[in-house]
Amino acid sequence: MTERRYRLLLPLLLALLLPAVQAGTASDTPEAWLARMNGALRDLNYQGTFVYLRSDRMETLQITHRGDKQGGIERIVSLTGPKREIVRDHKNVKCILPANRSVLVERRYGATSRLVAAIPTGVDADKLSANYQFKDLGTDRVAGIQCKVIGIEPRDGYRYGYKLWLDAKTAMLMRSDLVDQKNQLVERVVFTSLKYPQTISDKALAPTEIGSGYTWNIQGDSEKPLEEERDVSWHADKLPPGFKLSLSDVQRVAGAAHPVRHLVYSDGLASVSVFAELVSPGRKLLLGPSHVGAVNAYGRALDGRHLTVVGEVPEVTVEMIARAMQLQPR
Amino acid sequence: MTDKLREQISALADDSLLEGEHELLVRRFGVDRSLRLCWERYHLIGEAMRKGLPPMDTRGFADRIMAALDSEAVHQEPVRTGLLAYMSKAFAGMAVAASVAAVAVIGLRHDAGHSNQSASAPSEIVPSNTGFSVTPAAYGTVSNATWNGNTPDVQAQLGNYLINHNEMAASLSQPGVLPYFYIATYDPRTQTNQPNTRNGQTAASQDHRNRR
Repeated sequence: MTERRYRLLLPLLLALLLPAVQAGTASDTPEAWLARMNGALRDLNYQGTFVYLRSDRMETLQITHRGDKQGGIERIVSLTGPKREIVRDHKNVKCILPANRSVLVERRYGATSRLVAAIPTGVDADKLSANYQFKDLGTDRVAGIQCKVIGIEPRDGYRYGYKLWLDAKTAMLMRSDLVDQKNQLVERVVFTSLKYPQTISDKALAPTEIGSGYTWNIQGDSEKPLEEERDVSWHADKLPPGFKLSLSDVQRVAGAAHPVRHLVYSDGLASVSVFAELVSPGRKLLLGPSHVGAVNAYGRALDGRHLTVVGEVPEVTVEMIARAMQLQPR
Repeated sequence: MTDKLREQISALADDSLLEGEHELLVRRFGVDRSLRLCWERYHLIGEAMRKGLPPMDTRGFADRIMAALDSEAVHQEPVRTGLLAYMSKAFAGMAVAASVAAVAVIGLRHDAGHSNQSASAPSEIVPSNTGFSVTPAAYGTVSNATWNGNTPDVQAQLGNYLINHNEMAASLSQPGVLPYFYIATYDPRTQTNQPNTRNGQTAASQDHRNRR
């Protein structure tokens, strides 16, 4: 074959091969891996033990998850420290705290929830790229399992970043490092063992720690009408870059005396909740900053109502959102 | 604790426990603190051998590892199956020492970046264009705090809000497994029940001041 023939064939070969190359590349991008991870966490059956680390604190927990298209059913049990158990079924989340002899029940917002049915899920890399940078960090092993490592780096100090180790075969999350803008570790979650059982029995998912005489705090117990909080609306003056209102609804939250307005602001990956409720005399609520692990909260009183802003974001973000909120009577 | 139980815990840590024994052992964790402590020690040893210890609080983790080894040496017979079956004492000592040293190096590097941080130090990650100053809790102060410095009432309400937030957040973007660590790792023993100067006030009192 002459050189001229090569030149003629080259564009044709490229035209034939390029789509295949692009398809192969697209399925191996960090964004594609994250989408697969979301599906794996929801759809797979898995049972494992993981360690949670933050600063000098270490906790060992066991998770049993039965996957399905409704978001799955799972049970998390603490193996160290005080006994704690969390059971999520399709309708509710039960948090059982034997040391306090209490059970907290919250409604679960799954794929069938009226609130979230219209909300897009998954990772939209194009929208996220303004605030995060996605990186392929190669491969590593966790608990003997070969993993793909993905980096999600924040572009500013208003959000955290992640390093995620995903099972190379299943895309299951094996290790997660939460890092700040300086790439300093904030907290780590890592599986030390993991299995993918074919089936998981109902018994393995049933709560075991609920005893007699426990106090049950159930969301929706309040008799206060929801309209009480629907008569007002909230507006944010200046939000952290990239954060937009994703959800607004009035609901009953366990432990709250009045219906609560729940606003969610999200940058597509991180999300922050604003809870607004009427203040009851003598009721103590958070004022100023607080945190648990990487979750920050900021409380503020405003015009007879109380705002609590909560999210897995830096403190500056929850404070900025709390200060931006303004009440607008309808 | 019997040798049989130690073998089962070791097998659990090594992911080789028989299927039928799994649930029973986990249930026993719930009623026997010594089993849970043993389990934690085995995990530390396993993590040290896999060099998976975190680059933070080096001394604490090293102490825990050494304490775990001391405890194993003094109180327990060698376990013949599972994790410890891989460890002769000499190998174990070398492996752990090497891991601790590696962690110490990483930890020193980490500490260098945080040694000047305190609860009152300015955070490096606070953007300069926020228009207000904050006093963030430094990384080093996170250690034993859970909703730091707030009364039990306030902590309980924040816990309720966090669960509710997690459910919404999970629906919006991130999968909803990770946030439950904060609830599952809730430890009432680490709580400071005395309110600090800012938190735990009644909302009405601050609202009154805001209006003035």
